[in-house]
Amino acid sequence: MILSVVEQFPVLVIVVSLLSAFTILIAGWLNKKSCWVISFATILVQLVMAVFILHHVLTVGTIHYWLGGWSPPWGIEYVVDALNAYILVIVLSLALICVTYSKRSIAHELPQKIVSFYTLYQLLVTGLCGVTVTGDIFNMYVFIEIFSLSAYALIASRGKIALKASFTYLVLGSIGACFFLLGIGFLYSVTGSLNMHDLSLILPPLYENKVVQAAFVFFVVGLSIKMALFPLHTWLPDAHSFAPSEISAMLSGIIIEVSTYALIRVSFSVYTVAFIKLLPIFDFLCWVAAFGIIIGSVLAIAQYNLKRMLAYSSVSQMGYIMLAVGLSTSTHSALWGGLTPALMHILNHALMKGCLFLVAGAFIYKAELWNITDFQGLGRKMPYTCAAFMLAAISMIGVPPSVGFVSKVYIILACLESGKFIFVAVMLLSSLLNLVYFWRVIETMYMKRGEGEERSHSHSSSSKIDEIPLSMLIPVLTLAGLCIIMGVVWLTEIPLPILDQVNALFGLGRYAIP
Amino acid sequence: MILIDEPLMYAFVAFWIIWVAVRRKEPGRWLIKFCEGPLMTFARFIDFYVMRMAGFFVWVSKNPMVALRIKEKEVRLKVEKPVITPKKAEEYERGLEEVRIRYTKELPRLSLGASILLILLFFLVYLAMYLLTVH
Amino acid sequence: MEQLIPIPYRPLLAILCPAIGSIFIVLFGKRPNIRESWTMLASIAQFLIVFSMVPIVIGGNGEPIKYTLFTAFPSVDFGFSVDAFGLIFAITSSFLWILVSSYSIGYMRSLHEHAQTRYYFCFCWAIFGAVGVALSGNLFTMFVFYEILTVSTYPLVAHDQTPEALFAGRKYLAYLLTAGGFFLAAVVITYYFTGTTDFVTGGIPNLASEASRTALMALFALFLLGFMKAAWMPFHSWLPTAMVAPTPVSALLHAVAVVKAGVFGIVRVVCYIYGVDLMHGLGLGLVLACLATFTIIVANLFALAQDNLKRRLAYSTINQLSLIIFGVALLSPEGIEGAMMHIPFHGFMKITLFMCAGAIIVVSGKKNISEMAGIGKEMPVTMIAFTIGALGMCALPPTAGYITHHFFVHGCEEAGGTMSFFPYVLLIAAILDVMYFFPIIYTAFFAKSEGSSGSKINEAPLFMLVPIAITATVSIIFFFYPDLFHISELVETAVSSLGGVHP
Repeated sequence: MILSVVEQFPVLVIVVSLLSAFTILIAGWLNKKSCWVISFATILVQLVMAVFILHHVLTVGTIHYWLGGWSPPWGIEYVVDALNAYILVIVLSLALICVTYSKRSIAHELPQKIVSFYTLYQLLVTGLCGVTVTGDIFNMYVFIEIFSLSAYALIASRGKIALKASFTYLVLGSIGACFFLLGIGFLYSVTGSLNMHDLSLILPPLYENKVVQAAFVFFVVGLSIKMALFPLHTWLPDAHSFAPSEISAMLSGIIIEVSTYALIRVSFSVYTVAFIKLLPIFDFLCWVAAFGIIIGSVLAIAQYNLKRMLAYSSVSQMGYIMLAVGLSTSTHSALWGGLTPALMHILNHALMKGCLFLVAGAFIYKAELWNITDFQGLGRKMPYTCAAFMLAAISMIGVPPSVGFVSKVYIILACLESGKFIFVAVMLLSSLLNLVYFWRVIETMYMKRGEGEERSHSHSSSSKIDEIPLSMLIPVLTLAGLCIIMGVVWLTEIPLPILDQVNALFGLGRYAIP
Repeated sequence: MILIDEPLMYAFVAFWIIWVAVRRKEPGRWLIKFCEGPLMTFARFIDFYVMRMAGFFVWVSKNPMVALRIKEKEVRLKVEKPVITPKKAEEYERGLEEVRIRYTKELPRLSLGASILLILLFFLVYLAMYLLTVH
Repeated sequence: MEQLIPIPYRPLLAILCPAIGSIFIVLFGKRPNIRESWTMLASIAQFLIVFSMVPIVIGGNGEPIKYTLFTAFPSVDFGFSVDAFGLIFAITSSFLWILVSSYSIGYMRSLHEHAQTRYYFCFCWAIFGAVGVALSGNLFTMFVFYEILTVSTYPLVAHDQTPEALFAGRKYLAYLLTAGGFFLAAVVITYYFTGTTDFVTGGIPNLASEASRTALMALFALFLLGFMKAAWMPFHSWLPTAMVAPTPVSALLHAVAVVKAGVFGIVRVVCYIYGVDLMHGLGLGLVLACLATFTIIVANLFALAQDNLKRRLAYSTINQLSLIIFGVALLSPEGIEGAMMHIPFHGFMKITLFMCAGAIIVVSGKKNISEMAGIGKEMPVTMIAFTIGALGMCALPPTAGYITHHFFVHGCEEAGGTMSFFPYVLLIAAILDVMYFFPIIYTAFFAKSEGSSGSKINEAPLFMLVPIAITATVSIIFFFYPDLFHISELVETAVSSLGGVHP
């Protein structure tokens, strides 16, 4: 079998990343400064490869790569179709942005642990990419463990209370992984195969089999823990708020999304739409997601710590994504049918939450500001950072033409088409709740005056601009800009063909068999 | 077409001007009094209750668990007060105070055990649904 | 002009004027003179571009100027469609922006306000939103600009940054963004039913056939809730609260741009989404008329009780906005004509009143009517302008208010049936108007001031006085010549193209 260069890329993305993790470890002994450079360069190369993969998938078709040349049912196969390619690009873009940001912030926050940070970070990226490209369900489990373990370690890296947060995440994450593994075991016991494509061929006659059905439930529960779907989100707020900010951004923007990707992959590639229509689980998921949306937002209002607030907001946003996934089997429009809203919101959420967490990190970096009430006057002190925060917050609220607005419209349209009007109300209510907790921050940053600060008529002298370094500012501003630019791009429907291909792959949306 | 109300309108304006010129006071003081008094009181009453309701929701959302407990204790105190001894009522009130103080403190975090319990419950619900619907 | 800017690009360019202006305002934030000249430049340019579209629209027999940026959903374009009705609102907003810019310069400098760059910047974006609403070609585009308008006005409302102003800002956002949620739901549901959100003269044809009667009623309720900007009761209380904003903001945004965007939306929905026939068939006209008259009367009663001048004006605004809604609710050509015409007319008159209130604050710091005894002798020009505006509010000649009042009364008769009872309600409303505007004039000119420091003339700076004089004069000119700025011609074009208006 002769492969073109691009068809080698799926495995290269992982190999390069894994090798780079070890290189960082070794190079770090010699020179601490080299760690960042290596990590940055690797992720950049990976991103370029991912873009090529995406282009190849869209123009030529799905890439199959057999590891070691072993053909599928026995060997491990990497399969990259429109869905993985799209997710892969998102993962690596945000990883690149976070690594750029981490240069100064880690030097400031964890000066003793630079080497181990970047090693773990690279392992995390490896795990995330691995989950994305693999076409083998056991291999997926392995990569889930790799990225989870590195995430546990990264969260714990600040020490003290972060250790406890990490421990909670470790226990719950392991339970989730166990559920996932049990699901795999059940399937293997029935079919004797671990290859996703192979499974999808063997399974249909067995859909009435109790073991197969129970396995699906195990997958859903296991991954729900990993993606912090309400009410299994309990590990998330602590983990998000005590991790270093770039890791919070990765956690919220990528890690829980990749778990969602895993669920989508299992639901539609291992099982199929026909199976999902057999069980009412997706309806159930919709309701759970709707509760998650509301309760996550309400809990976010209760927080005073910015990062905790953002963490609860993530719980609510995961509800958006799961609601969209839950609706995917009952919508048939060419535009908002199938997985389009869900996948769209995965990208949008990565942009918005990534930006917000990085900004929260900037406040901590500059002045150790954790609580919203301490943000008075920041609007003048750090104008660019605050402007970025505002853009991202406005997107979260869903003011047009931001990305949040586009997601909102698409999900509402999907709700309408499947006739579930109650979810329309949930979406609208949630955007109001978003408004409540985000506006509070914006108001404090720009409008509230400190106690000592008198109403100064002249141009106040006390407000000197004191911005974060450029290497942190550029990632923040890039994400904030993208929040608006991507919104317009979504509205022009340019990237929709990618998502359309995903629907075609799984027989969703307009490709559904009536 | 002749406008019915136009002459009436001019008549009123003329009346107003003459009244002011003669009496040195604006006509219709009773209406203005009514608006400043009862009407505004009513408007403020409505506004007050709407704002209080909104405030209540915000208050509850700040710490839902404890807020519910406070409400529950308040109601119980009100219901049971006529029947129980004053000493017991005092005890109740002290309990209420305690919860109120706790309210201002930080949110209770769910412990690890509770989280695992939640997961199991979640799983049970799934299984229950699955058993109920498949047959 | 024709060669300078190709016609289809003009709507886009008109929108972009304030956007580009805002960038320069920030760039020159440290140099007030240059900064403010950019505001003036942007406003004048915008007005000229908007005005240049008037002959084309009138000449084109109601054929709108269309410009599409991109297609967001099948048959939902993000783009503009400039018709006669939209132009009326656009002309009003953009022309008054010129005057208010000049007024702002005087006001903000006299009071040494802080954060002036932010103020001018947000002002630009508010106008961007307002003119965008006016020129947008479908509900979707309108929604986008509507939300931009809401968000960009917040910093203006909370400008003082006092706890009171912050509270007002919060209330403002809470009301209007909630409304935005309803509006979005309404837009999406309309799209779901009909597959389009375009404004069609006479209503979207397949709306009646696609949705049930109940659904249409519920949808209309959603639209009404979405247009809370029109401050109909009982969802009005954000407007008086928002009066803590600096006066130019109250003047332009709370008498012209923001609230008018609300009524503009209602007129759009009634005439261009539902269509007059469908409204009639559903019996929604009467419902809307009742809602409007309720607001008219109650707002006037509330106004009577206010001593703060700006708050009194705010209630008067609520009353007048509902008058516009009332005109549309009549569903008769004259009523709709009156409603459309009242948008610019009321804009000019109310802005005069607000600017006068601001001038009084700048010169004497007085905010309450009871303190204004004898102020007419100190500030004769301001108070004469105020009198003209007040006469307009009471629908007395020789002001623009008289003309539209005629239209409304004729509209009632034209509609017939239950509607012929409504002129009496209008009469009561006008009488109440007299009862709370005349005392102000009386106090200002005839009551004796206690301090009586001698009646030395002490007027506001020219930057403020000139706009006041212009708007007051225009309010009178409208009485004699309603076709100023081609307003009446545009209104006729708009109403005639509405087609099957019910007798």
